[in-house]
Amino acid sequence: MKTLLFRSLTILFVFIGMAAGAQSFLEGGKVNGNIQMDAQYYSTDDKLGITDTTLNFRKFGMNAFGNVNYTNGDFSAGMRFESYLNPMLGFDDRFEGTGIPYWFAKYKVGTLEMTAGHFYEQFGSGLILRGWEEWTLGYDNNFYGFNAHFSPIKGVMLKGLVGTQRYFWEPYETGNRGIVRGADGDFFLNDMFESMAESKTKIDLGASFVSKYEKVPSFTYNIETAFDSISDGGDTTQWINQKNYKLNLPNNVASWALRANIAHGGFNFYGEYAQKGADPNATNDYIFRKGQALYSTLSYSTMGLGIFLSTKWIDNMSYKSKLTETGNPPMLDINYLPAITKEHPYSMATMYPYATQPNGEFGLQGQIIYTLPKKSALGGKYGTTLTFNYSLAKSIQKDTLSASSVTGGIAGTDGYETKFFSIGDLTYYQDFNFMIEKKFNSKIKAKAAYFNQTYNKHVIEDNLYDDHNMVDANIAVLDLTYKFDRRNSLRAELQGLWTKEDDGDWMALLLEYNISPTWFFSVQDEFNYGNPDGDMQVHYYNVSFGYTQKSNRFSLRYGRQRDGLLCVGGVCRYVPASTGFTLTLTSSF
Amino acid sequence: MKKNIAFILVLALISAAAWMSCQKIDDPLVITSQREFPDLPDDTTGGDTTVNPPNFISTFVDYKQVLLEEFTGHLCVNCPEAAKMAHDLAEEVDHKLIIYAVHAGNFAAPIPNSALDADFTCDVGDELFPTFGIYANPLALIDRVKFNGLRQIATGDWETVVTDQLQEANTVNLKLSNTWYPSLGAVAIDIETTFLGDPEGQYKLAVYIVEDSIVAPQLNNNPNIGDGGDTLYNYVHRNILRDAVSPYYGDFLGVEGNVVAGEVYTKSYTYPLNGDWVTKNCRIIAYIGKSDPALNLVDIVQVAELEIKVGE
Repeated sequence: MKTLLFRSLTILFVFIGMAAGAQSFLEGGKVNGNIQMDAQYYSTDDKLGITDTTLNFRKFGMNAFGNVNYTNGDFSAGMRFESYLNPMLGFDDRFEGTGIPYWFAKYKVGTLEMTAGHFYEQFGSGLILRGWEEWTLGYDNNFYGFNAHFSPIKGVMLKGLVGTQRYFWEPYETGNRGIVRGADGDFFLNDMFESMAESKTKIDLGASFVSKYEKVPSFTYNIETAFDSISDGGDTTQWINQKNYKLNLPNNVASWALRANIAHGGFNFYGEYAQKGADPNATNDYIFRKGQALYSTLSYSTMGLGIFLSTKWIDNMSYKSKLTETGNPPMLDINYLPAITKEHPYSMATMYPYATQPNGEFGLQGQIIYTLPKKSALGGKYGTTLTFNYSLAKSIQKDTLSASSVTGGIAGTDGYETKFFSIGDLTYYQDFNFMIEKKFNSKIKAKAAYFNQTYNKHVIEDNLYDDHNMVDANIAVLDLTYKFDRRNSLRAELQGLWTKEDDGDWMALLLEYNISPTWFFSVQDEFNYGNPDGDMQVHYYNVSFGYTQKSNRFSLRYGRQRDGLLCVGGVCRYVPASTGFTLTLTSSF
Repeated sequence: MKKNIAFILVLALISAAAWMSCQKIDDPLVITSQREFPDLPDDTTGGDTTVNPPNFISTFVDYKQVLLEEFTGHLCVNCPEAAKMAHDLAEEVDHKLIIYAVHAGNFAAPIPNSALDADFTCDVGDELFPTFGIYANPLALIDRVKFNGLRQIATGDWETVVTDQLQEANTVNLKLSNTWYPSLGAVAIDIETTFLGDPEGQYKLAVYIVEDSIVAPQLNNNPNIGDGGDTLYNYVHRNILRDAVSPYYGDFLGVEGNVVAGEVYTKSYTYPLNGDWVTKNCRIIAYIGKSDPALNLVDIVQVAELEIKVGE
């Protein structure tokens, strides 16, 4: 890590030196950036079983980053400095340390844009390549290498990249991860062809190719069979025939995808199909089957009405730049499999979130948003917005093949057979929800929501593909805001979660007083009154306040954090229970 | 416009490279080696398990020893000097340095119809050579640790690294014993290991067989070695790696390589010797190292060497 830091700093100093040496380089330049610091002080808590030992004697955790970006015309350079001292609870210990995991220099000449250093990139919806970062998850799979964007003619955008991916603080070395190469072409036909310029139908087509190279490890297996030999003298000797096998792991794994986006009036259709070559890896138990994925969305919007449908079908699409990486925490993902379940803003509704299952899933989502017109009988003076949303994730049909006689398991076989777009019997997740938003008058605004969620705890949390631990939860939320005047408002959130499974029933109350734009104060309690274990009928209370000064924001919270999964876009991190203070500071310039 | 065309061509090439960079795997499992050996060879003790058979020999190592894997070849002119230096060093450190010579790569290629027509390469050597990125001869792996960021260690650093490694505390005791069964032409090898602490990582045991004192021509550029000629016709090759008794990168100790202090982990192997080898010159080398996802077995913590006892 020291080497990485040293290298990064050297390069930055070179840039600064270049800048200092060329006065004109600085003229007209702009520097901006932002900082976020999350710090937690942990207390022991007998009720939650938190002791100094479970905390590993780490009373304090801090995750922080600072971005600094310099822009001058078509040139820009930037870096992100990160510290995890120590990593907060729930973040991998391997993050511990301080350094610069992200820096770049970028310039544009004509229609060519080149980036050297670290970069994020996405081809289409990300089915075969997406680099992204999500601070709250501790997720960062940035690429380190070169990236080019080039538009040879109007409407055509070509992209090419070669790089390695971030793995905590570990610098790239031959063998410790792979190299990713990719190219993408995007063709917006309405810009390319004059005859289509005026057309109301807009068509955008794209194709991408990605390949990873990796020095593969050696997995060996011995098979011994016994046989007898009889000597001339009639003596029998028992012999063993030993065959040593190794998994013929591919050094190169390629993938490709084709996509189309067609828009006409209020309609918009997006579809993408991807295929990946044989990619035996730790996620799929080293099967040699190809992977494929289909993702599509269809939306329609008009005044007061929005309809959105999406579906996906994924088969064996975990694609990482290191085949032995298991995915906890998720690192070295080359691709991203979009989540098509709705992310909710309320704590009870996020207690059972969905995590994408890359080895195979069918997903479906539909949403209708309808606004009852203002001044109508039902819409009232301000109109009323109704949102219906349904999402479903199920297994795909898999006919398991017989185990390998050499490995004793599915490793070294194709694993299973499936039919394209087949849907299995096992439900992974289902969420039906309905929300009404209504403003009664200039002072009172209300939201009421109901959620019915089915959560396969075994699949989502334990990688056990059965239905022996299903959670069926009903959740109701009432969210009221009362505005005293232009600056002062009080928001109250009352939530209930009822389930016969898992931790049983919950109630939650939140009161939040805002003095816009400077202060907020809140108290919150989540009470697990229905926990079948009487000792765990715990109040997860929190008291917090925040203060905003220009672009600086401080917030301080004291209380209990319940354990559970935190998911963003189908990628999840387990958050353990904790008690203590949390200070968050954000600032930008 | 020309620039545009050039750039499109470059991108097309990258696309084509990406497209073609997909390996078709016809056979997910390939046989890397195959051998036949006698099972539980009938010993000469008449079934009495309380006495050792006559051709039994054993060694017990409860102090840190170091392994030097010397990558060499009979066409490598600098190698005799390097080999001498390594073996002199082993003498100096009371043979706590175990050495074997891996003949692999271009310098080890036999030259037909010449004095240098001997082939000392073997399958395990051909595997180790590219895996550890051996780019020149002589180079060595010393306990397969990194020195200045690299595991391939040049001759100038051998003494430093060996000295450093010998100063490491012993973390595992290793008992290596074998019994020679002349009627079957096979050696039975037994290994017992005991870790002194609970180490991090997964550990593997590898067992190789080497043959010492093979006399065969070797190119040379050191006038102080042998007769000082460019070709040493009667050069004595020391501890040439012949074969792996275990899988190339060893067998896991404990459950998937996870070991606990004080527990005794045992492994047994039976190996029929090639009839062309001189049995009394053959030695068994057993070593323990850490499992590694890319390099398979690195950071060797203990090694032992033992001859085969062919007679009273």
